Amino acid sequence: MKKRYLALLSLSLVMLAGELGALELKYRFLPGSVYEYEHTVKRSSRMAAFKTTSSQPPVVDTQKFTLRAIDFQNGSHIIDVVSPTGTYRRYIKENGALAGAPGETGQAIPFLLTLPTADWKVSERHQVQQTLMSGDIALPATWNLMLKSVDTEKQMAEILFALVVKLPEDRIRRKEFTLKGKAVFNYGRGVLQQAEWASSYRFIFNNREMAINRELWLFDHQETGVLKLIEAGSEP
Amino acid sequence: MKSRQTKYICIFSIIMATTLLLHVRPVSAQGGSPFDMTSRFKLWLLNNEARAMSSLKADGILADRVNSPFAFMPFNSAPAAMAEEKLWAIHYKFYVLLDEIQAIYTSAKTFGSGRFGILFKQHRPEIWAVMPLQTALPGLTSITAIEYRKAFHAALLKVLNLDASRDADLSTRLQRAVKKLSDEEFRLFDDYLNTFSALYPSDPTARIIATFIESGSKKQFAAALKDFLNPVFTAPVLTDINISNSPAEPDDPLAELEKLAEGAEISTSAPSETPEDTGDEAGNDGQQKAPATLEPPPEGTEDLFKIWD
Repeated sequence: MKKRYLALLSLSLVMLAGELGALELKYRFLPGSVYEYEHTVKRSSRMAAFKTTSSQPPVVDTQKFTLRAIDFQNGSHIIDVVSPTGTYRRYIKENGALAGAPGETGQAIPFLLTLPTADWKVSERHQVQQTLMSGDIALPATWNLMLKSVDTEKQMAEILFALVVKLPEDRIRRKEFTLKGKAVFNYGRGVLQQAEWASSYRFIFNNREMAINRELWLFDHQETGVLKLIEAGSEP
Repeated sequence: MKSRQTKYICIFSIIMATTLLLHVRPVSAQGGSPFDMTSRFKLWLLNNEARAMSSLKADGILADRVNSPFAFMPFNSAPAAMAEEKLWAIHYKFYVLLDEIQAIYTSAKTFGSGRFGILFKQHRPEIWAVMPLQTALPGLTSITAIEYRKAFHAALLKVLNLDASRDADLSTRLQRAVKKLSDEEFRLFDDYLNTFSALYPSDPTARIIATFIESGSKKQFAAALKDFLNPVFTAPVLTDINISNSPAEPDDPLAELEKLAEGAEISTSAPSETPEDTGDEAGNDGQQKAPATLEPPPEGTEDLFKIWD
């Protein structure tokens, strides 16, 4: 009887261990496949100068782009990003880092959200650090990532991410910048299924002379981005 | 040895100072306009704007870099109009207003006392300007004299950046300039002036601007400018186009100048004529005898132009 209980306990522990088990998240674009995404950006802003205020109502811009997976060479997926602005060749590593972008030479590469190569565990935090340049000033920036939940049935992993960066300030400029978001990664197919994020930028400009401090202007910019995988399939 | 070194340092300092002054001079020449009362406030606002714009752009680039977080996304996002553009548009209106205030203030300060107008009336440069033509074509000049004077006056106003219709009433011009701002915009302008005064209490610029707008909009000022802008030109009588026969207006300096020029013409065109003949003609016409040559007037009479001392 006791053995039976122990066996049952062991079985349930094994099942639980399966649930809590480490998860490997990495991009696995299938060569010859096409992935169609829809990217929606919504921007709004407001400004205040003393009692004068102005606000720009939200402007929504939606565009679709297609990924053509060409090959996988030297640890990088060779992808063509086909967008209304043109087609760009990208070499994307399995963790989402950019190995090369020959069609965009000279352009600043965004601070990309890369997936840590380590095994992911629910509620475990990961950090990706990089130095961002703002003019001549180097700003340390960090992506904080956390696996929130895993849907084993759908093979989806929900990841929360947030950016930590301190914008340059001085005695007349105070700034705040935040970015938070959520991504759903289809670890079965190795593609990003959906992601949404919101950024907020607040800039207070004041004048200070001796002991007198006067706030002149407040600028507030809000931006949200939604990225959705619409269709994935093989090249017709 | 030491004195030589001191000498070299001295020479070097002089060369450096000269070089610096040579560089500084054009800058100060550009910045220094007479009766400047808006520049410091304008520069303060412009500098603040430039700092804010610079930060917004740099931060905007950075925000763009993190708002495309995935490597497979197109990096370039479409630019969108931001709320601050309205602020820059309002500020542009302020700059236009400040320039207008400066122009009105300069006009009032330069010409408002009426001294320039009096000086102009006394010396009549427009008459001197047509004098060569008077010598060459006296008849034609007689017909067109007023037009010449009008044209000279119009050109002079243009050079002085004055407009008869615009500047006759500077108070109205100031009111018109201020009314280009809405109530909300003017409130913001006033807030900026107060802020500037609070930040720089020893700088009266903002207070002067505020006072000038307040008092200048209420009552008319620089009224003497009106006379200078719209002088009365005496029209010639077409039947009396002969200068030698036409009666000279006692208070018209042009007529007096014409007389003088006529005398000069006679002396150059008919040098063989005897002074008696000329005197007879002049006596027949009952006019004042024109001198054959430009000689100093006899003692006791006043010389109109005081060429000789």
